[in-house]
Amino acid sequence: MTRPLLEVRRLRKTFAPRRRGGSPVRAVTDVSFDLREGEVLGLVGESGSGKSTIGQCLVHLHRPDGGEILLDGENLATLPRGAFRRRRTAVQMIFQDPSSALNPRMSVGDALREALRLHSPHAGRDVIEERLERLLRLIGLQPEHASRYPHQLSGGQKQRIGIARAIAVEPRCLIADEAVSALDVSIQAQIITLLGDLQQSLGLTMLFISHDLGVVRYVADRVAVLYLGRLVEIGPARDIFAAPAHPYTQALLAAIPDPARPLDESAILDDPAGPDPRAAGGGCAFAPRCPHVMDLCRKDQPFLTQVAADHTCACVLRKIHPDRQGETV
Amino acid sequence: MNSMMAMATDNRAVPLTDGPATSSPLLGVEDLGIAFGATKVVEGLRFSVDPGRTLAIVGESGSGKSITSLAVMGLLGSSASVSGRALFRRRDGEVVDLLRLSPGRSRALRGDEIAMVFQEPMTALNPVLRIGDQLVEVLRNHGRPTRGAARARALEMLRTVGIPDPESRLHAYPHELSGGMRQRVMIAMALMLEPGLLIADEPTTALDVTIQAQILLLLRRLQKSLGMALVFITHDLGIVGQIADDVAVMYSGRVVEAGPARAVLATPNHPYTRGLLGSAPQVDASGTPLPLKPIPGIVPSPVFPPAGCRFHPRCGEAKAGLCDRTEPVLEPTGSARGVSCLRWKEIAS
Repeated sequence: MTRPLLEVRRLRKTFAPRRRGGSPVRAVTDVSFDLREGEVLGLVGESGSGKSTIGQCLVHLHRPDGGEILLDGENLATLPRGAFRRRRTAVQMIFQDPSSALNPRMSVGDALREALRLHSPHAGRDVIEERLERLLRLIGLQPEHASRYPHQLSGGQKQRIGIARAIAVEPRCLIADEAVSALDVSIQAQIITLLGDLQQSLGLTMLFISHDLGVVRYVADRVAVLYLGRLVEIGPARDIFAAPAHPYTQALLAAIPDPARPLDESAILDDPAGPDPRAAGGGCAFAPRCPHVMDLCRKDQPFLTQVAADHTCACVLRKIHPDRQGETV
Repeated sequence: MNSMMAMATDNRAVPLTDGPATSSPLLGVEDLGIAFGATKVVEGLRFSVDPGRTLAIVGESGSGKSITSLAVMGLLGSSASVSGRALFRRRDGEVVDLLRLSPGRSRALRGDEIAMVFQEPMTALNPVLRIGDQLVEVLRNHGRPTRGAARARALEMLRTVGIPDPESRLHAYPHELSGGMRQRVMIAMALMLEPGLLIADEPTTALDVTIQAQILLLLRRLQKSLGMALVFITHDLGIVGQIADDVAVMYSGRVVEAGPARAVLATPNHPYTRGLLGSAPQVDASGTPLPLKPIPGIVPSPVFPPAGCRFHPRCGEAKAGLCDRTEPVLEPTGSARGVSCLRWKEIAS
């Protein structure tokens, strides 16, 4: 197998307590995964699962406490700031809220020209203008949008500009952090379709971060599920959706709103407390919410074991019943 | 109009009735219009809700769904001119027009008989007051029960909405709770006085899908046990299928399709409803995702609404010379359903 584009190895990030005497927040604990050339990896979990922290570590918005982020064999995690700046265009981010990601005093054209020039500092004006027009058409806008300012655009149009800015520098990989979560479903569908088209035509490699498996299903080739900063399952999207191995993945799937399917009461995690990093103790972090919890789960931290080809899951149930691989628990 | 009356007689919570229905709904909104100066943001809106039923109002941002709920709640400022009627049947049987109430009577009704839950609980809760004090305040604004009784009721409501360890949560500040927990507190606060009608405006939009499912389940359970009517405002048809009995689809300030939720979702008549369904992530029986079919474009500005049918610039079924000239009206299509489309019959066949 060829070397993955991006290798994340035992990534760790702990935030200092907000208050004196508080306990530090372990946002990401020993997370490892690969991002392969040309694939879309869905990174899924609830608020507090550490998914955004991972994305932010990848673009140096946070400095990880441990672990490696290897891009072409170079460790971005330990790269000094200056050296990272020169590599910055390699990894680009699309943010959740396009309104706050765009400079309100910069026209769409200027925002994109800036990115285009960053990519080709020696290109002439004509070349930049030509690329700008091509870029706008690529994301489904018209050349006249170049003179608009962010406040003159709808939420969906602003997100298109956010995407255009990210791809303008021809990055090696894109990180989309809840890129469609703040949008109406109708606009969400437009942006998902756009990302799919761009991925096809440009062969983009993308880490797609979202709390909604219903959306991830449309874009991801593989899916990684995080729970309280740990990876609990990773595998091909088809397997994850057809036969989710981890009880948490099963709960996430059951929560997807579907117009044709009534709310499945039995499958909902009906625990108002939600994820609690302190409740777990030394055992599986999901144990306090897990419908299949056993004594064992509260003692030992489960580790990722293979349940099918290219598909691993961190759950004691998976270790005990190797013969039940691929089945739904 | 006779056929509309006939439709209303099957005694369902038909959002499409003409005049006060025979069964007298809990809330009957008739010909509601909302304008800011010359800009009409809602026009000719009509829906009704029966006790114990859930009506979902669906539409994109800018369709007028939230402003409609604010008008019904009497929460629109004086810059808005509101016309039409919103007849509400009070506990004592008296029918009042919510749009014509004095500010004092409106305030007395709010929280007591009609309550509202908003999208973002962090901005709806007072950040510097403890949860318990905010809950007790609701009771003390309506009648003056003793401190002890009010506190006991607050505790009971926190327990009802499934907040773990409610005694200690009474002393918590909003920022100490998670988003899902805050929304539960909002629901507890809204239900303190057991209102007959709860209006929930996108109450789960800011939440994770897992928490969203919990809140939907909670609302459904509470609605059954309290027998209250629920108006649920959302942009997500996926949620409509999970919570609503009836649905009214809004576009650019009007209802474009209405009827029993299951029927509308199964066989939508309006191209916009179809577009919303095509935009919602769905899977077939084998679990394969159905391809997304997004609606092109965006909701038109109410300042410059398109002529004819307001949806025609985005509609794949629009016919030149017809849809861009004639404005459709909501017409009954049978089985307690209605649609506002000039071509719905042709499209259906």
